[in-house]
Amino acid sequence: MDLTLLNQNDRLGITVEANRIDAQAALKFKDAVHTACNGAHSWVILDLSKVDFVDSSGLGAIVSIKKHLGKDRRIDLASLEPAVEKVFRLTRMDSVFRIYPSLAHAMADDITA
Amino acid sequence: MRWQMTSRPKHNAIDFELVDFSAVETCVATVFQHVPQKCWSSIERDSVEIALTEILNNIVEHGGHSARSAPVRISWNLSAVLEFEILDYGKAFPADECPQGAMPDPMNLPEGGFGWGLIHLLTDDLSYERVNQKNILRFTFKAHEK
Repeated sequence: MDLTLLNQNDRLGITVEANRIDAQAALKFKDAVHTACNGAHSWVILDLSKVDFVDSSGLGAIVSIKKHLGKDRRIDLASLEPAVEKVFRLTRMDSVFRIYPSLAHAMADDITA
Repeated sequence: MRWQMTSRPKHNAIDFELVDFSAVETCVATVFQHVPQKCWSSIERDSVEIALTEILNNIVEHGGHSARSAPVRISWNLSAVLEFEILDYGKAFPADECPQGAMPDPMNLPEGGFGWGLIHLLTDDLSYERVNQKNILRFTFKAHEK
């Protein structure tokens, strides 16, 4: 799965270049993000602005990436489209990620990761 | 994918060969092409897409060989509500009951187990019947956001 990476100090922005993260795509998505996250960044922001649809398998893949990053690194989300936001809200998984309106907002957030 | 459409007043059905997860997206998109577009003014389209996807994913994942050996039939009817019936030849649910769908606790960072929770939250009047080796799942979407 294609990703666009944005390196900025301790932060890595990952824009998912696909319109779905579903059962069909979940494994490839997870592998691609794991490969992208092998650097020294302490904070990963997953930009879902191009993703219209995430199913429960896609959601599970995003949670699995969070676990893979461990306790010393964090992952948050940016730009949730309505159907994606709905899945996060109904499963209450929106409570375990910070959700930014855009990748630029996350990159400009002056909190420390 | 082979499919046929039978159109009678107030009743529509399409048969799909649900061989793998890639067929699920096509299947849902095809249903959306045929559902009367006027219903989206009052029924949340995202809810229907999420629920149908989760139900069909479950058939592919848990239905076994028998689910793939015969078409899955998706029927719908728009009245005061949007009604669906999904018929498949997969394995029966344990105890012939539809899974309850308790949502996992987010704090445990669950990587799965969301599917039936979402289906229960998004649909109304969900019922399950096992008849002659067939699973029949019926549910509706009401004209408001749940």
